Amino acid sequence: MSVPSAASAAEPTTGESPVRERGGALVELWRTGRGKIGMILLAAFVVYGVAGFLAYENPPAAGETVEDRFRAPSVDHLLGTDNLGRSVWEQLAVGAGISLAVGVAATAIAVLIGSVVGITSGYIGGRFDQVAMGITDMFITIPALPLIIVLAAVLSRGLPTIIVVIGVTSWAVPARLIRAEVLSQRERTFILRARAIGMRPLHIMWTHVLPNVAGIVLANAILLTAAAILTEAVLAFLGLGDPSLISWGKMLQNAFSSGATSLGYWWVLIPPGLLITLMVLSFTLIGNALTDVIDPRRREE
Amino acid sequence: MTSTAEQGAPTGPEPVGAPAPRTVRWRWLRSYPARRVLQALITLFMVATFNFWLFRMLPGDPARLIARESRLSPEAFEQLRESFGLNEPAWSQYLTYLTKIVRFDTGISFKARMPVTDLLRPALSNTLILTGAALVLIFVFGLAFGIVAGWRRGTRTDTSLTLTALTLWSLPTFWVGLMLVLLFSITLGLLPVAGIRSVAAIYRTPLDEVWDVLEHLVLPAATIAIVSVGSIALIMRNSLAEVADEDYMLAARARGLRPSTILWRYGVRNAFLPTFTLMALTLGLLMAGTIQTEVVFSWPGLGLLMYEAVQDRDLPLLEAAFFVIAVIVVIATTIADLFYSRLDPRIRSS
Repeated sequence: MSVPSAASAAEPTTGESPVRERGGALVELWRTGRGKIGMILLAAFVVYGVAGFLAYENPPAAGETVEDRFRAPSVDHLLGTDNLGRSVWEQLAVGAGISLAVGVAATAIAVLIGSVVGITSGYIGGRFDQVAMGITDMFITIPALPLIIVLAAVLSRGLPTIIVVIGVTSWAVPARLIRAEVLSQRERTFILRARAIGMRPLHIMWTHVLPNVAGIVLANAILLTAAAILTEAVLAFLGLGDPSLISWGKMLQNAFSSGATSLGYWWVLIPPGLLITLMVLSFTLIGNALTDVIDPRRREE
Repeated sequence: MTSTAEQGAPTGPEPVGAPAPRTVRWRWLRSYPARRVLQALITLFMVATFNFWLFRMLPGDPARLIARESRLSPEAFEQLRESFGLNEPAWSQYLTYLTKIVRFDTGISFKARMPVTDLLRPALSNTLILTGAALVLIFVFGLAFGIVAGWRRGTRTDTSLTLTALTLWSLPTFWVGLMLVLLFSITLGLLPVAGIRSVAAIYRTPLDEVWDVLEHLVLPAATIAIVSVGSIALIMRNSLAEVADEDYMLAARARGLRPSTILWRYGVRNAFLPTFTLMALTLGLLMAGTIQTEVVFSWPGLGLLMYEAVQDRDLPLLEAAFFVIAVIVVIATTIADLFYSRLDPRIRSS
């Protein structure tokens, strides 16, 4: 894992850390077809999420009469209504914000924990590193979803719980990535030079190591966000979501538990899943393209 | 992968210049398989410990959790505490718990009021049937797509496969299940909606039963496979693409070997190993898919058991199901790692 990449073989002659231009990476990302599609999709979802948050209440109002339930799409109700007569259109709009918020917040927690573990482990090394990475590997091996379900089932139901539970179970992979990168950076000349002129370890980490790790961590974080959005949907579908809020997963749970599948009510079943897929896909595309852009071996192809 | 070899070393650094017979006798402990198995055991020990303390740390009295609905008299309540061993000090409870776990005695279900093990056993075999069927599908289709894309790297086939794989990975598994039910069971009426056998079915021959289970197996297995097949194809593709740059591939081409020989004998054979290992590593993800699928199709496995335990707040059942899933995944990844290390000695020595 700590095998130096092709990039680290070419030592910079100056004492500055070899950070590539930020704009350069973004342009390259845009040039990959995947990156472009992903970025456009994601921008659309951000606008949609903000607009939905501002325009509608969460949860949307229930229908007034029994006849309002499970209405097929019509001019009045663009996408029909659900088992409680709530507009599917409005639910979809408020769900976007929930997915984005959970995805980004859970990832932030995971990356934060991963950075602390990875950097300290890689920098201190020795026995501490062995123990820390042993624990990290355990977290990688233990199946995540069952663990998340157990935690979410025991803790109080709510959006913060979901965010924290997903966050504290997803830090292991970023921790490993960051540690590997710290190890490969630690012995490079500009770091050794910084150490020789008496810079403090934390300062070196902050000014030299982190900028070089940033690209890989960002690519991984984007993929983690995709996974976190999926996990939130699963938890909501299993009835472990926030009971007072509508999310896309919760919409599918309502549809499933009210028998919409057997009744063939496609309008409560297809749209939420489609939007989850597209939002997750937007992150997956960007993350995948970014990994290729950063990886110098693949760039040379 | 290489890094796993660094951990779990139970002993300190090699004693300098001490050829004591003791070191020789315990040398096998330092071997890669021993360390890897030890690591697996520690992981399971951690899961068990987590389960125990989670139960203790819940707000409120565990006995109250067990008694939930029924308003018990103080005497009955005390009896309940006694029978679940809740009056013992925490550490003694912990030790009892660990010795029980080793014997796979995982306590009594709150809801069913019967040993959790009796619920787990049939569920485990049903889950293994489902996961096994899904694995076969993933294996066959994933490798096939991956080989095609890896061999035609850079072509349009390759690009579209990458896009398809990423899209499939982005699908929520439970939603794929719902869509398959909507299409094949409700709209077309081709396959059963849920369950593992037809309700009140009477089988004339064992073959009838196998056929019935197979019919019920198609959609759930396909659900799991659809979501995972893309990532396995991508892994195979990248692995094959990496192998394609090796010198021996160039040499094989220079020797004028047939393209099909180069592909299968030199390419696929060498690209398969890393793919296999990574596949074992995605087993945890596969279990995640299985849990969701079992809920959608009411497939009576460990995932459905977990789901029902969540609904019934049946903590012993929930934790036991989690533990069994963890055991499956840890054993499988350990075997895969050991298998891989036998074939690739670099892992052992690093």
